[in-house]
Amino acid sequence: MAGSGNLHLREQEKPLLRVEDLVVNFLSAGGETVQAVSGFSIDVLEGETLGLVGESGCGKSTTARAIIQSPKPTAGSIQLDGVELTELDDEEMRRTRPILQMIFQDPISSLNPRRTIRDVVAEPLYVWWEEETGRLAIASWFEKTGNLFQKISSKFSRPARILAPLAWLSLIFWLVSEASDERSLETWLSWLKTPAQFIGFPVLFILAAMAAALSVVGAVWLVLAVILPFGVISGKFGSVTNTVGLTGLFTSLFAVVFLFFRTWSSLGGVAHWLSSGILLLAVGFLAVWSLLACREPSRAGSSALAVLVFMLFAIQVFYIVGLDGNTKLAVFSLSAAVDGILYWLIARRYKLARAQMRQRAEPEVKRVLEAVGMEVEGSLERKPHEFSGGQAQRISIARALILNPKVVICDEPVSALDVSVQAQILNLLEDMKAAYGLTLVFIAHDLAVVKNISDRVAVMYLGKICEVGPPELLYSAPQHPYTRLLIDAIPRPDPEFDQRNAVRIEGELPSPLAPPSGCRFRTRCPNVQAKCSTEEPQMKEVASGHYVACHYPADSELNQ
Amino acid sequence: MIKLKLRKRTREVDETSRTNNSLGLMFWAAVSFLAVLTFCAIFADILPFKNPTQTFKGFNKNGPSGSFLLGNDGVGRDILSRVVYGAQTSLVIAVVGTSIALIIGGSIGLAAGYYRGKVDRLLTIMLNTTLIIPPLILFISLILFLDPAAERRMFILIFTFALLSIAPIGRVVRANTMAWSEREFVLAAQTIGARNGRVMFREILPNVAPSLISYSLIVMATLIIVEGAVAFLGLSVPSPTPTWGDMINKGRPHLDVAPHITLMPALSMFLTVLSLNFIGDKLQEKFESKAAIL
Amino acid sequence: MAKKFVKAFAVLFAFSLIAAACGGDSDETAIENEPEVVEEEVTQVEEDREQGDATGEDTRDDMTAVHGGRLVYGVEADTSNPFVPYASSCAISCRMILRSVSDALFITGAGGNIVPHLVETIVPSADFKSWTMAIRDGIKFHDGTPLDGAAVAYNLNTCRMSPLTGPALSQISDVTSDGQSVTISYTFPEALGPAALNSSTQCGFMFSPTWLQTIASNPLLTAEQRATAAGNPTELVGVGAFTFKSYTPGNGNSFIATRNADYWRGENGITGEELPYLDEIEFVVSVDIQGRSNGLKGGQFDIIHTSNADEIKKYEGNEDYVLLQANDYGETSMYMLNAAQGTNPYAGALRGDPELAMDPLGMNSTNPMIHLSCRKAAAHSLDTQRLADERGAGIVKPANGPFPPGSMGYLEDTGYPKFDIAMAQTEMEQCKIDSGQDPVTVGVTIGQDPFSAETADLVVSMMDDAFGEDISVVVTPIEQGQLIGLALAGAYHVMGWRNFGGVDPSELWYWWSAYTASPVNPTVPELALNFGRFVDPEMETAMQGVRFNPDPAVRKASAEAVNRLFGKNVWNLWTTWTLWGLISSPRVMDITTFTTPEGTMTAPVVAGKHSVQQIWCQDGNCQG
Repeated sequence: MAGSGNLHLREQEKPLLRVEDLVVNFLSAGGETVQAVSGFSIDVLEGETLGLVGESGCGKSTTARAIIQSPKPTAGSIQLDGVELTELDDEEMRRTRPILQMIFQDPISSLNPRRTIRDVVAEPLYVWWEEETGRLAIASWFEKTGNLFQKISSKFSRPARILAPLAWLSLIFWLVSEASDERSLETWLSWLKTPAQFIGFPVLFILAAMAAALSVVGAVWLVLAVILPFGVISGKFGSVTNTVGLTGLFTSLFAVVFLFFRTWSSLGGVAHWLSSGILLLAVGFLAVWSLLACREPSRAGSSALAVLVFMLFAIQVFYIVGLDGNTKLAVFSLSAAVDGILYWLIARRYKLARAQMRQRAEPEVKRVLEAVGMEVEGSLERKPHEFSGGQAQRISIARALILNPKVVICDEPVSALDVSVQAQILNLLEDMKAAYGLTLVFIAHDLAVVKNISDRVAVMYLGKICEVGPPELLYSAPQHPYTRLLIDAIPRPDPEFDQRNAVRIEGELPSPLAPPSGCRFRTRCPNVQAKCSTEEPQMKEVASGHYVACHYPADSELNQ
Repeated sequence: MIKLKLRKRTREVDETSRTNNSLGLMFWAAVSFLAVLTFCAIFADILPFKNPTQTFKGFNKNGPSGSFLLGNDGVGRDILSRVVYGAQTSLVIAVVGTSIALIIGGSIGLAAGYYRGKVDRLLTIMLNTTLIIPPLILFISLILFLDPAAERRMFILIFTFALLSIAPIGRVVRANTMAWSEREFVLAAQTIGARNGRVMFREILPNVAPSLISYSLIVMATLIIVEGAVAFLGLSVPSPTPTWGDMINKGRPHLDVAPHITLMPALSMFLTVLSLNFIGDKLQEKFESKAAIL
Repeated sequence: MAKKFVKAFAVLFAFSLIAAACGGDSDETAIENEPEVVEEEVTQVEEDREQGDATGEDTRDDMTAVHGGRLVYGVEADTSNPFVPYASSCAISCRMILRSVSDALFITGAGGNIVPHLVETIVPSADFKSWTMAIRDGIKFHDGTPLDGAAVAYNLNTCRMSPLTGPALSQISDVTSDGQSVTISYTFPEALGPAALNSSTQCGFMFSPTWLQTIASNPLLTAEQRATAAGNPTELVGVGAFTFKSYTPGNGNSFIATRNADYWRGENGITGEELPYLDEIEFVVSVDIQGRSNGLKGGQFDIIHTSNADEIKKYEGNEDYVLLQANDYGETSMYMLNAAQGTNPYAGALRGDPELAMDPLGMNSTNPMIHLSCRKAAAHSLDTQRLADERGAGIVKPANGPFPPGSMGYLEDTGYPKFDIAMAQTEMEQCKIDSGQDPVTVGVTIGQDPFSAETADLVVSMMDDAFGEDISVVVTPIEQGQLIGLALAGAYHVMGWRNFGGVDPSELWYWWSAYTASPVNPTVPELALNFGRFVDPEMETAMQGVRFNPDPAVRKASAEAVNRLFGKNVWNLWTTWTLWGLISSPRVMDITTFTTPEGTMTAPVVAGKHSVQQIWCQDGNCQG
C-alpha cells in the first residue's frame, strides 16, 4: 500500500532538505519508461538522520541520485536550505554541491585507483581552491613575480569587458579593409613568418588597438549593429558581462570563418596550410580568452598564459617549417631549448604550486583522516587498492567531510562490508554527525542497520513511500504490512525465536515498467483487499509523527 | 648452515618478485632498438652519416663494405644513411599521424563515452563515417586533387593517416571511458563539484591512458607499414627524400643481383614494427594484470 | 616485280645503305669521303652483321621450319586499347600485336631501306608530289573482304581524319583509289612518299573497312552510323598471319590470335608459301621485367622482350636461352625539356592565327628550361657515360642525339654539350640571370616504375653535385598513362622519355616540327606531337631537306643538320640509346629472319619490334 500524499511533510518547521512529489522516469534499453520513483516526498530537518529502507530495486538509490541532481529528476521539487535544486543551472548546481555530499556503497569503486589517498581526500579542496584563486598554480607565480600579465588581466578586468570585443572588432575591420586584396594578406602572413615574430604579436596587438582608434566610427556602427541585438537575445543570461563576452565570441567566430576562407582560397603549400590552421586556432583561443576575461576576470591570467605559450609554440612550428637545411636545424635547436626552459619553468612553477597546494591541504587531510579513524602515517601516499573495504569507506567518508557539508547522503555505505566492520562505520557516522553537525540521509536495505542511527525512518516500496515514522514507533508498532514483513525479516539473537516461522515476503518485486494499479504492494500483500487494486492509498497519520500509506494499516479497525 | 639457507631463500624470493614485475629482456631490447633508431634519426644531421642523396660513382649495387656498412643502392648511395634518414620520414609520419589521431580520436572517444546519449550517437556516427572511406581511394583522390605535383605529400600522408586512425582510437577510448564512467569515483568527483572537463581529464583519462598508449603504439606500427606500402606504389614523399618503402621499391629491379638493397630497409621496417608491437603488447599485458588486481 | 621496285627506289636504297653503314663504329671517315660508292657499302653492312653487331638478327643454323606450336610472348605493357591505328597510342607491345594480325604496306629492309610488302610496285610523279601504289591482288582480310585500293584509301583516311594520327599525315593532301591502285598526293614533294607507311608506322597496317565501319570511334562515320556502330575496336580484323581470338585488357592478361589458314603468304594464299608456322600466338602483358624474366624461366613465356640492360646482361652467355640484342633504329632515352614560349607562326598559320602564343596561360614561364643557358647547364652536368655504365649495365651507349649509330644523320660529335662541371657552372650563372631564379627550380616528371625513378635520382644527384645550392629539383613520379597526357598538354618542365625510334628521319619530323607544337594547355590537350614545343626556323629548313629533297646526299646532310641543331639548342637532355633484347627459349626459331615474298631480307629488329609470321618452334612445340 505504498501510496502518495504529502501529509507527512512537516510544514511548520523549516526542513534543511525537502523533497516533494519526486518523479524519476528513465528509458529502458527497450525504449519503455521505467518508473523508478513515482511521487516521493520527504523532509529532513537540520541535524536529523533519515533512514530510507527498502528492497533492492525499490528506487532508494535513484532517489539519492535525484537529490544530488545526477541525473536530474523527471519532476518534483528538491529544496536544500530553501534553494530549489531542480531549477538551478549546471554551474549553479555545481557551486551548491559542496554542502551536499554522498558516500557510496562500493568503497573501492568510489576511489580512483590511480590517485594517492592524499589526493583523493584533498581533491575537493583542490577543486574549489583552484577555482577560488583562478588556477592557483600559475596565478601564484604571477603574483610572486609581479608579472605583467597578471597585472594587466587584473587591472583590465573591468575595461577588458569593453576593450576585448572592441579590439576584436577593430582587428577584423582592419583585416577586412586591408586584406581585401590577396597581396596584403600575403604580406601580413609573411610578416608573421619573419624573425620579428617574437615581438610580432605584441606589435600586432598595438596595431590592432591603433586600428581600433582609427576605425572607431566603424566599430561604433558594428557595436550598435551586433551588440544591441545580442543584448536582446542574451537577456536570458541577464548580465552585461555575458553580452559583451558573447559579442567577443561572435566577432571572433566571424574572424575565424573569414580567415579560413581567405587562406583557403589564396594560399598553398605546407607552411601556408599550417600557418592558416594555426592562425585559426590562435584566433579561436583569443576568442575564448576574451570571453573568459569578461566572465571571470580571475581566470584570464592563466588563460592568457596558455594562449601565449600556445602561440609561441605555433609560431615556431610554422616558422621552422618554412625554413630549410641548416637554418632549420639551428632555429629548431634554439627554439627547442627556449621552449624547454620555458616549459620547465612553467612545469616547475606548476609543480611548486601543486606542492604548495598539497602542503596547504595537508592539515585538513590529516584532520579528516584522523577523524575517521585512519592511521595517517604512511597511508597518504598509498593507492586505494592497498586498503581494505572498511578503510576505503573511511577514506570515502573523509573525502565527503573535508568540504564541511551540511547534508551527507549515505547510499548503503555498509552493505558491501563485513559485519564486524559495518558497526565500526555506523558508529563512525554517528560520531561524525555529532562532531560536524551533519544531516544524514541513510539508505539501507536492512531495517536493522538504520534502527539505531536514524531519527526518522521511511520505508520505500517500488518508488513510493509506505510508512514514515520515528524508529521507536515504527519498529515497535509497524503499521504497514510491508514494514512488518521487513521487521520480521531481521535476524534476532533470540534462541527461542525460530526465524523460519517468521512471515516472509512472497514473490518478486513487480516490474517498475508496469507497476500494479492502486496500491503498489498489493500483489505481495498478505492483507490484500479489493479496494487495494482500484484506489491508491494516501498518507495518513496513525500516531504523532508516524504516517502510513495503507488502506488497512495494522492498527486500523479491519485488522483488529 | 641455517644462515646460509635463509640468505639463499631471500635471494630467491627477490628474484621471483623481480621476474613477475619486469617486462623481460625482449621488451628492453625492443625499447633500445627504437631508442637508438630514434636517436640516429633525430641527430642524423650531426652524426657522421654520409649524405643520403649523394651517389658514389662506381659503387652502385656494391654489397656491405668498410666504408659503406650496409652497402650501396642501385645508384651508389649509402644504404646505412638512407635507412637512418628514411627512419626520419617513417617516424615523423607515424608519430605525428598517431598523435593527431590520439588528440582528436581521444577527445571524441572521451566525450562520447562520458556524456553518452545524443553526444555519443553524434560522435559515433562521425567516427563510423571515417571508417567507411576506403583508405587507398581517399589517399589517391586527395593526391590527385590537392597534390598532383607532390609538393605537400608529407602533409597529405599525415592528414590521411591521422583521419583513418581517428576512428579506431576513438572507439577504443569510448569503450574504455564508458567502462570507467560506471565507477563510483566518477560520480564522487561530480559530487564534490568538479567540472566535467576535470572529471574527464583527471579521473577518467589516467585510467584509460595505459590501454590507449599501448594501442597507439600498435597504430604507429601500422602507419609505418602503410607508409611503406604507399611508398612502394611511388606515392609517398617524393624522391630524393629517402623512405623505407621507396628504398624497397627501388631495390626491386636489383633483387637478384643485389638483394641487400631491398633487404636492409625491409629489415629496419620489420624490426621497428616488431618492436612497436612488442612494446605495445607488453605494456597492455602489464596494465591488464595490474588492473586485474583492482 | 622486285626489279621494278628496286629501280623505283634506287635513290632511297642508296642513302639507306649509307645510313646503315654508319652502324659500324669504325668507318665514319670512309663514308664521309666516298658517299657515292653504294655497292661497297652493301658489303660493309653484311660484314658488320657477320661480326655480330647488335642488329638482333637470329643467326642460328638453319633448320627446316615445321608447322605447329603455340608461342607465348611476354610483352611489357598494355598501352594500346583500342588497337585500331587511328586511335591508338601504339607502343612496342601494341605494335607486336598489329604485326601478328595484320601487315603493313611496306616493311623495313635489312639495310634500312624500305621494301614493299602488301604493295607490289610504287611509282612517283616527276615532282615527287604524287605517288601511285599498286596493291597485290588477291589478298583478303580475315572477314573475307578483299584488300583493294579503296580499302587502303579508307584505312589512310581514318588516320588522316583522326585527331591523334592526323598531324603525322598532314602532308597528305588527297588519297584516291582505282581498282588495286592507290594514288597519294602530297602538299610538298615527298622524298620517301608512301614508304613512310611501313611497319614502324601504325597507320601502315591495314584493317578491313567493313569492320572499321562498325567501330564507333571511326572518324569517317556520320553521327547516325556512329550511333549504331557496335564493333569492338580490340577485335582486330586485318590481313595478317594470325586471326583475332580473344583479348582481355590489363596487366597479366592477354591477346590471343590463331593461325590464319588463308594468309596471303600461306598455302592457300597468292604466294603459295607456308606462313605462318605457329598455330597460335599469345601476347601476355607482364609490366614488370622481373615478372617477365621469371615467366620465361618458369616456362610461362616462350619469348620476352626488354629494354632493361641489367636484365639483358644477365642472359649474356647463358646457354639455356637465346639472346638477340638490337640497337638498330632504336629509341633514344632522354629528358624532354618543355621549351614552350613566345609565338608559333607555323602552327599559327594552320589555325589562322600567326601570333599563336605557345604559353597563353604562362604555365611554362617559370620553367628555367625555356632558356638555352639552363638547358646547356643541365646537359653539361650530366655524366652520360656514367649513366650508360651504371644504368645500362655497361652494354648500352651514351647518346648524343636523336639518331643512334646506324641511322641516317648519326654524327660522332653533334655539338651536344659534353659532361663538364666547370662549363655547367658557368652556364648556370647565366641561367640564374636569364631565369631570374636563385635557386633555379625545376620539376622533373617521370614514370612510376622503380628503375626510371632511380635513374632520375642519379640524374638529380649529378645536378646537385654540379650546382649545389644553385638548383632545386623536384621529382614527381606519375602513372604512365597520365605521363603521356602531361606530355601532350605540355604540363611539365622536364620529363623522362624515350622516343624517336624509326628507320628514316623523315618519319620523325612530326615529333620536332613547329607545325605540331601546340600551345600549353592542361585542360584542353591539343595533342602536340612536338612535346618539347620548340619552334625553330632552322629546324624547319633542315627537316624540309630531309623530307622533301629526293637527293640522298642533301637528305643526309639535312639529317645531320637536324642532329647538330639538337646538339646546339639542347632541346632534349640525351642519356642513352635504347638497347632491345629478345630473350627466348632455344626451341623458338627464326625469331627475326623475315623475308618479303621477293626474297628480300627485312631488318631483323626495328626498335625492339620484329615480325612473327616466320617464327617456328622445334618439333612444332614451343614449350618443349
